[in-house]
Amino acid sequence: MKNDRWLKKYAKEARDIRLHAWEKRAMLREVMGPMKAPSPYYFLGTLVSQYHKRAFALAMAVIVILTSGGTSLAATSSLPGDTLYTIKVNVNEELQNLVALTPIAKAKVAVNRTTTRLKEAETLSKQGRLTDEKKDILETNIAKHADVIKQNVATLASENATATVKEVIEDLKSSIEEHESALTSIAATTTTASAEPIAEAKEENIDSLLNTVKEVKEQLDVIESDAADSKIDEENSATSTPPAATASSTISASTTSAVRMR
Amino acid sequence: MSNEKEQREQFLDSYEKYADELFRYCFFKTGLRDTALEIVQETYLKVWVLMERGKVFDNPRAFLYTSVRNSVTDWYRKKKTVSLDALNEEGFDASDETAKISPTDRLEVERIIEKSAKLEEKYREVIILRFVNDLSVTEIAALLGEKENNISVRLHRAIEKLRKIYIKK
Repeated sequence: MKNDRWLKKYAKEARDIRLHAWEKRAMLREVMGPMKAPSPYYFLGTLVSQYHKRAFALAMAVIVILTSGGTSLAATSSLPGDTLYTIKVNVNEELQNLVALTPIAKAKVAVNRTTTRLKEAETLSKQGRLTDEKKDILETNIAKHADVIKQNVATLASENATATVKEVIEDLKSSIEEHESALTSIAATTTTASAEPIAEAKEENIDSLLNTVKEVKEQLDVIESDAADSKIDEENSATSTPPAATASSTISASTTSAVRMR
Repeated sequence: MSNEKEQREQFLDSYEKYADELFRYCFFKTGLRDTALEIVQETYLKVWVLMERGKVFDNPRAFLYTSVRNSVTDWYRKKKTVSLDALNEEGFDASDETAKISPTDRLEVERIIEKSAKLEEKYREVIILRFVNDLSVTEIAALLGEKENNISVRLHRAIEKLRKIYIKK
């Protein structure tokens, strides 16, 4: 046979056609993987060709997003003690927090979350469902939000964005005052309506919540005055200690002590 | 326990050694990368299931080739019925073979497969098996269920035909 050179060349070229390394690995996994521990969803694999998997995965992702979107939508109206409440606080609201990129946006989200907590407290106490457990949940969350506000306000103060700090604080204060009065009136009506121990417990819970809220408010006052001071400091002299540093350190000191107090 | 481990090793060994050449064989026969991938995967899955049930393969390569070849034949049959439907509905252009080859495959396909595709199927097959995948004439004869003599003759003719196609460029 004198085929030799060209045939060898042909064979060599043809041998270049092979599985890609990743294809080889993926295929082995497909073959041996499901054998080890048969998946209850293995039939899905037979419905979908292995090589349209990416499209299938995309479709599944869309389905998951759509259905979970429904869940989180349903969660928005949930209250402490509900199954979906954890999703509301840790997924929905946390997502808002993640989307908020600037300190201002983050602080505002935290303010809104605090407002939501107060609304929840209001709804629960109106329905007479404000138990110790639920009160604890609300208080812990309010403290968390206060921390976020504190941090971001400190950042803002260090950037000398006094106007924004003031705006955020005003927002929170007005919302706190609004809900404070609502809660107080609820507390008052429960006391007068019945003298039963359960009602007393509820009243105590409302009081405790109101205390938390008051502490937050006091902290805000401190922050506000600090920010104002730092502005004055800054205007008065540029040589003294950086005003931003003073402001933020006072803020964190005052807020941590307030948090510890509870 | 050790038997299970042995099985596993034997399977992995046959996968490592033959997956590429089986894929190549399929690709040359079908001209479609994805189809080749699916057929090879199906085949190995079949082998793995059989091995788990305790079947011992004296010659896994021969079994793999036979199995792959049968799958390709099945695929051809299915394809024919499908394209016949397409033909009835969409007219003649729909069954245009080159249109089905994806752009990423084009490079490889154009270089060597299209050249090989000019060979008749029966010649192409023996060329790939003998010279690219290095099967012996005896093995090819067993796989195709023909006499060794026939295979040798066909190989000679195949080389002549391929030479004309390949050297002409």
